Amino acid sequence: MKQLIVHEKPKSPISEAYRSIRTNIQFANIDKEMKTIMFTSTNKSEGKTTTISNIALTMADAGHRVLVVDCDFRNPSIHKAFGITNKYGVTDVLLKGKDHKEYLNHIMTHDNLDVLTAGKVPRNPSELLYSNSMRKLMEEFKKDYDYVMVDSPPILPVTDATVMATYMDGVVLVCASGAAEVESTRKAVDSLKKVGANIIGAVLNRTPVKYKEYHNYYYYDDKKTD
Amino acid sequence: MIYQESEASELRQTMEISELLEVLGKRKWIVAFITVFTALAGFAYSYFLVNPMYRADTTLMVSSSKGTVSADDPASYIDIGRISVNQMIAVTYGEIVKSRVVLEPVIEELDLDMSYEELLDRTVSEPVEATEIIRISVEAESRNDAVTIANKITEVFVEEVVRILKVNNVEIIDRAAATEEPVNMSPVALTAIAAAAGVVIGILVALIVDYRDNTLKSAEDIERQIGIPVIGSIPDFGKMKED
Repeated sequence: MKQLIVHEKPKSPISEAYRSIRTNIQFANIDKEMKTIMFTSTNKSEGKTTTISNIALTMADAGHRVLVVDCDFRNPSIHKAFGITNKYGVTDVLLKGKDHKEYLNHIMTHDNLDVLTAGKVPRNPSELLYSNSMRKLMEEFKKDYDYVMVDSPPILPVTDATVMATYMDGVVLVCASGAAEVESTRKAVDSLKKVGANIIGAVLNRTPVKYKEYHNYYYYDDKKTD
Repeated sequence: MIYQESEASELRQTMEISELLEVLGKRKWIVAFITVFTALAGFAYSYFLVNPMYRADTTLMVSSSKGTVSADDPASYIDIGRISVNQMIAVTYGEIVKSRVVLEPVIEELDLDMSYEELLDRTVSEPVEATEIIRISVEAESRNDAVTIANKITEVFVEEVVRILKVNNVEIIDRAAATEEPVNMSPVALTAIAAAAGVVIGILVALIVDYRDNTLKSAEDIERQIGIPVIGSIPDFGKMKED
């Protein structure tokens, strides 16, 4: 659980930031049944996996039943964040028609948090994600959980995320400050809008912190949340 | 594309000083690198490629044509009209010094390894402001050479004046003396100037880089330019900026 600062340092300002994202997602859920939420980004390495794992922990802390699903078949990494094995996962469920419950990983620290890793990398990720069995699986998940958080590949290099957005309740776009370019991000958001995705909003990752703010965190505890 | 137009007009507005400082703080390595680079280039150039030059000056005086000077007629000694004529002559003579008639024999006699133009380039001769005195300055890579050439020019010039104008109205006041220190810019001074230029160029480059950096940096950027709400920002303490 190296990347999971929410677990390691629950009092840190970073954990606080994850909790405020949780609050915003909960608010977004008031209007609408928003159970399956896909986390994606414009390009790779903007911090999807870290973001999704930490938010899942805060969701579980708040008493929600949470499932984290790794659908980034091209570069699976959820299992690394939670420090578990990726021997079997989503692809095994889809290709062998097995029950997903066999492959669930229960996270010891939170009895209401489960993780389903990606499994073996398939030859046809996009078709697999577009398949009916995948959609059915998502419906299955909704029966058992309050929130199903899905990790996905980035939007611009491959179509996987756009494909998945068609059957997801909500989409969160992770943007790394100073890395995501305006034009490409705009393109990514456009392609999500084209397929009718419900974009909850963006998470700005790796936001540079000013020394003054840093001070405020520890001495005045008056961080702005808007 | 409405976004881009509004963005461009925003950028054209004058930058706040604090914004400018923030940009420079973020790009300080660009400024530092360019400054160090130009300073080194300036130093290398002045130290390895430029030879120190020394200057030797001689002064000549256009004296009045030898009038009789009698003790009971001081006015004949100080004659305003004659002085101004001498001033004009000094200007003319200054030009003669720079002519081929004078400089080419100098090159020949001293067996100098330079063309007329090159010698002309190193030679300055002009009247000392509004007097009848002409100063001839020669720059050379050694003090000895400067003195020798300056003296030779003076010598040839005096001969030529006699030959061309059939008058002997030039008197040498000071024989050539060379400067102790090189007259061109010292490596230290040039390095300092190069470094100063580097700072200016570095700041310009930093501003251009920042202007061309079209990445999303803040929640406002995302909301304004992408048009989707921001549901949170994760601080990065690894990239903490000093304020």
